[in-house]
Amino acid sequence: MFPLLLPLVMVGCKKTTTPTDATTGDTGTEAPDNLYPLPDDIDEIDFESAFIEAVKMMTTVTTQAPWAGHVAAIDRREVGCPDFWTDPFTIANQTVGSEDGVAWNDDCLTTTGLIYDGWIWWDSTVRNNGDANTYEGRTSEGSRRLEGKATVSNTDEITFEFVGEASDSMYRVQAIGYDRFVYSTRMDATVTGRDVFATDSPTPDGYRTDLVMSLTGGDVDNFEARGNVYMFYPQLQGRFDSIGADMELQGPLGAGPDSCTLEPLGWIGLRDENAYWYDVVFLPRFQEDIVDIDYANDPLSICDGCGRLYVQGIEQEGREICIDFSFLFDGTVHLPEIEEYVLPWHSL
Amino acid sequence: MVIATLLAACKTAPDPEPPVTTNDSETGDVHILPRDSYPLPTDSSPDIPPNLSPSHWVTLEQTGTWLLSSSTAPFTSMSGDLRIREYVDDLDTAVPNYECDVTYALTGEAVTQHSCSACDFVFAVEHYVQLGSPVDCHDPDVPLDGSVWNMGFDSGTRTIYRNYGGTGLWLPWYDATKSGATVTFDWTALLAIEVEDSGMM
Repeated sequence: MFPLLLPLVMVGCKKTTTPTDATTGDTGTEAPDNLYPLPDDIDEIDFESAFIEAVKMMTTVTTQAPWAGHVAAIDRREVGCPDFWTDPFTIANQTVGSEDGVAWNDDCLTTTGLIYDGWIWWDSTVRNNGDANTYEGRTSEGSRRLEGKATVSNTDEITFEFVGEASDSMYRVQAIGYDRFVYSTRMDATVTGRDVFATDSPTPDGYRTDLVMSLTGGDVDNFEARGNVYMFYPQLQGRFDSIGADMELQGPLGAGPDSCTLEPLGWIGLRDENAYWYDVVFLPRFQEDIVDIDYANDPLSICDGCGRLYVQGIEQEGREICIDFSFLFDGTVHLPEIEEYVLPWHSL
Repeated sequence: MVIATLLAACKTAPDPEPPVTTNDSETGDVHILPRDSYPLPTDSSPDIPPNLSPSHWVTLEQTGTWLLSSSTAPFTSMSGDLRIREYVDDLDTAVPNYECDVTYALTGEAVTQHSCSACDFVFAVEHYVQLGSPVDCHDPDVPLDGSVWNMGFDSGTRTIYRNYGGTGLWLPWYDATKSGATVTFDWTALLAIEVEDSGMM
């Protein structure tokens, strides 16, 4: 009988809500307490710099990273280690690879002591027409994709590890007085290794991610990011190990009269080593973001470059975080050159 | 009595504490385990990788000729051919079983403005498929019907280079030899392949 009684009793534990307002009919809700105690040093956290650093770090989480490791691994190969494969093939009862592109697949040791273990399939296309120093201009298009589960290592360290899939594309039109680019990247992968991440890089220990990101510029500035980056250790300011985001920011170029260029739509979150999430919530991005409560209330809906801090999902009254995202459109974000999409197996 | 006890607990229920394991019980300080403190499992893999050996291979052969407009420079145009053949394992010469067998007719117009500093001459080479279908080939970079590639010959390295995708990157594409007004070229490679009902080892 006790198990049946417990749910009834727990219902009685619900927090009390304020009664319905007799004049407006609105049903108010009491702000919930923080479920867990806040960290003692929460007032000492420089959230502005932490979130800027997080977004800058996030912009490095692109397919450019594993591709660089892949190219380095191929550059160091020897004849027969690793072997190159065509068509789909079977690994652990799973069919991998493709009729397009080429793959390497082996478990071998080179004479220089490099071990290739696993497989990586890749394909890329590139097209470049015209001259950027003319009014007709030049159009460049590149796309590439790699999938795999592989490590390349020596006795001291892993030089490249890739598990998952990644792709990106670059489209650019350049002419006299004109420049437009669209870069998009998508990864669902684990990436580590010293060939990819130098010891002084933002993420020397690599990451696991499902981030989708795009940046357009030249004539219309726009940045979008959705997904998560898990860095294994607190690689961000020695405190945070994860970034989550669902955001879109219109930059100054090409902004419409109703566009907010000071702050993004959506939110950015950081997780510390104790699994506390700190989120900054900006303007609502989608209609679905507005649930139950009226989102469009001042000051949350003001385009002022500031968002409200939430800790463990609990709004922190009076904690506005103001972040300058202008670096997203000033060339800080590294874009791949069209030549980086060239990796034909034919000429290896 | 059980209900009364639970209800009483409900009144005074404190906010849940974070997991005990993360806090020092005396000071309340948060503890983070040092990275080296995690016990690591023993690596049971062999010290020397086995070096997997594929059971089947595709041989890729590409051969052709350029017939230049004259035996000495400048060369204004060329015509020629390219044949691509691919087969798995050993070729039955009596009844060749090619995976792909494509013959192209080539035409080329000289390109005088180019970025190949090593090239003696460069042509815009147009590929016309005469026999076969390039879609059956395993080389992902076989020319499609009608495609035009900028290609240049370097007598120093005896190589034909290709301006890949128009990017200005001139990649070595064929080994080549010039004799008079004729340039002959070829390229051969192997790719492992999984054949149905056959493992890789």
